[in-house]
Amino acid sequence: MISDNELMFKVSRGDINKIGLLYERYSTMLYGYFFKLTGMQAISEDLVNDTFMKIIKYSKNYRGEGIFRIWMFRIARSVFADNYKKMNKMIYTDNITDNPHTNRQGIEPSEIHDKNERIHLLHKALLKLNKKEREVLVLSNFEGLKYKEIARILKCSEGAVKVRVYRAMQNLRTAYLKIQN
Amino acid sequence: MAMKRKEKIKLFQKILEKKTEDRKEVKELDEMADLYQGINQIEVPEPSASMKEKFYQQVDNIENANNSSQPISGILSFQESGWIKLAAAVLLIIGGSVLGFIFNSNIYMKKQLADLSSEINNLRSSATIAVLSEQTASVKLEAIYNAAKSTNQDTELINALYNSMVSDENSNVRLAAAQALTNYLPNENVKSMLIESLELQDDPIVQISIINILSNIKQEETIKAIQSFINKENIDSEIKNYARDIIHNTSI
Repeated sequence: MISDNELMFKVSRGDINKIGLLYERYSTMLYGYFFKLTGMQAISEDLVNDTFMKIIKYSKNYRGEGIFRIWMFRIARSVFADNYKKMNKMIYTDNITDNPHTNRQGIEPSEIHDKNERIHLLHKALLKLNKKEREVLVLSNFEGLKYKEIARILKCSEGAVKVRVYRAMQNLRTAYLKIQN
Repeated sequence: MAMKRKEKIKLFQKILEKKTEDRKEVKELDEMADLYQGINQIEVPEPSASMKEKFYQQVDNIENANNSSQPISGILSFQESGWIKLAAAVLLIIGGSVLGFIFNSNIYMKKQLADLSSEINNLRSSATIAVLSEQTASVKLEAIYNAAKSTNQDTELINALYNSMVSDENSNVRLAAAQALTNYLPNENVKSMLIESLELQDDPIVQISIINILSNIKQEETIKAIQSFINKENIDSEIKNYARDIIHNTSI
């Protein structure tokens, strides 16, 4: 399989079509990132495409020394930051897309309903946090992203990431309890 | 003795308070751990199909812009002839519309208009065929987009589009040609061309596009073609996974 760095190298040399493979690899991951940060499907889709357009735009600056997805998430953060003020007026609503979990064997429907409700409230609480807190919690929850990598994405130390996660979790708990009550 | 007893009670109360605080802290930490795991369970809906479409369209636009900004000296005369034919087609369309407006009620003129419309389609086809054989990528793309408007089941044009789809060196031209050919579906011949071309493509984006076109036809034959593509060696595993997902989600 062609590595991310090889593909980016080709993109930076003008073979723009190669961005398609990177898009197939990472667009769903990025979409999940943006959806958790915004709770809005259409905006998350636009943010994914904006991120990839910026990847093409800045491809010549890509040195290929590190891990591609760290560079990609840095760009995704800046795209989110650019749109944050505009979006913030729309966030904090009840418009989070409803996606009931499917029933699973052995679990009572009422239990599933309670769980769905809890996750729904949790997402609402997450959207009440500030931009940095949301980011660190969503990033630290991604499978395969280590604290060391998150530290490089956020441009801080590994220790600072852990402190940020802890503080964000305290605020998330407060926001969650407030919504719950 | 009495003092000692009081001190003991105070100490016991302090220990009790500390334990209560500790218990409260542990409870908070448990709740936080629970919420933290919950973030992972936030269900993310599937992105819409238009997300990818928009993206690939944007990529095409960038590449078209890049191609059109490249130097074109030495091939200007070929381009000029292509543009003249295309401009003539556009003029005929406008002329046809004006005539149609003026003589709408006249049966004779209606027939004339039908002839003119057929003429325009023929001209559009021949201009496209001429351009596809010898122009730069941006001109070819323009011609293919123009050809996509044609309603003619012109075999020569279909063959020209097929040749571009399988052999043009520019993947955007191959992609555009594949998309233009979908206008002629459910023409069986075109369907076979699309199936055949999947085997010949090496660019992932064109492969994905043709897989999408074939899956949209929703016939046993097209799904089998995708399946046989998956079984081929030297195909990128990401593309194979993509094709498997498409087959899984396509109901015939």
